Amino acid sequence: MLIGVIPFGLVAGATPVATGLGGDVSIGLSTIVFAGASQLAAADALADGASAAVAVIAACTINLRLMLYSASLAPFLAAVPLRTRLLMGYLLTDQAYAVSITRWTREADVEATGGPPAPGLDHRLPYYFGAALLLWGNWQICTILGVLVGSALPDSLPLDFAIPLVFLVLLVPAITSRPSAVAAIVGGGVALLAAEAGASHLSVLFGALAGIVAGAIAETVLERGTPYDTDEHPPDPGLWRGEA
Amino acid sequence: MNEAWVAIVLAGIGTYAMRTSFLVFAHRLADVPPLVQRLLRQIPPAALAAIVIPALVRPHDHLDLWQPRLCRRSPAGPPRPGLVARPRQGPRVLHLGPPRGAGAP
Repeated sequence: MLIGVIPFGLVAGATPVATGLGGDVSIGLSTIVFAGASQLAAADALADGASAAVAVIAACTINLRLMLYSASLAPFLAAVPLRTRLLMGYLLTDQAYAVSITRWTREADVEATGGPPAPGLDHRLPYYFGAALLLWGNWQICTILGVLVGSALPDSLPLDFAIPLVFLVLLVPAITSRPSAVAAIVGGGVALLAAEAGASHLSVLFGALAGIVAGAIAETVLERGTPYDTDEHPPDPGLWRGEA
Repeated sequence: MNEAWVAIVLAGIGTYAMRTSFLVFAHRLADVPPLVQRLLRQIPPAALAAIVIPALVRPHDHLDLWQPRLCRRSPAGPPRPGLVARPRQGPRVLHLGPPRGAGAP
C-alpha cells in the first residue's frame, strides 16, 4: 500500500513545480489538503489560470467520498475522545479507511458469530494511527522528492496499477454476504459507467452511493425471506401495490 | 501565488470538514437505528468496488477489459494457456475471453 502511493506522491510533488506554481504549493497541498487526486485537480486548475474558487470546488467535490468513510468509521469510535477523533480526521485517507474498516468489521463479525470478543480501542486506535501515519509520512517524503525532481519526472510512472490491486485485496474480504456482493457489483458497475460518461473523479462517489443503496435494498429484500415461509412472515400486501 | 494559497487553505478546510463530518458526532453514533446501520454496512464493499473496478478496467481513462498485466505471472515466465498476451496494436477492441482454446468457436 505504501509502495503503491509512491509514484502518485512524486507526481503530486512534481506537478505544481512543472506547471510553474512552485514547490511551496506542492508542499502546501500535501500537508494542508493531503488528498492525492484532489491535490492534482487543484494544481491543474490553478496552473490553467482558474480562480481559487474553481480550484477549491474541484478539490472538495473529489473529496466528498471522505464523508462516507467518516460515517463508516464513526460507530467504531464512539468512545474515543473528540480531540483524538479530530486528529484521526486529518489523517483519513482511502488507504487508512480501507485497512481499518476491513479489520474492525472482521473483528466485530467474529465476535457476533460467537468467536473471541473484538479487541477494544486500545487495539483499534494504534492500528489506525499506525497505518495513517505511515501513509502520511510516506506522502510527505514523496511530495518533497517530487518537488526536487520536478519536471524531470518521467511520464511513464506506473501510476495506474499498484493502487487498485491493493484495494482489490481489501475488497474481497469486504464481500461477506449476498447484500454486500450486490453493493460491490452495483458500486463498481455504476462507478465504471459514471467514469465512461465523463464523471472523472466523481465516479467513485456516484458508484459508492449507488452501491450503498443497492446493498441496503438487497438486505431488506433478502430479510423478508423466501416466498415459501409465509407462515412466519406474511408478505405485506401494500408493498407491491405501492410500487405500481 | 496568493491565489494558490487561498485555494490551498480553503480546500484544506473543506476537505478537513468532510473528513471529520461524522467523526465529530461519533459519540452519538454508538447506537444508530437499524436502517442507518444497514446503510453504513454497505459502505466498505460499495466504496472499495467503486475505487477498484474503474481503476482496473479503464486504467488509462478508456475502457480496456483485456489486461495482460493481470494475467502475467512474472515478466520472464511463460503465460498461462489461454491467457496469451497480445501485442497492443491496431484498433482497440474489447477482449472478453481467452483468444483461443477452450470455448472458442
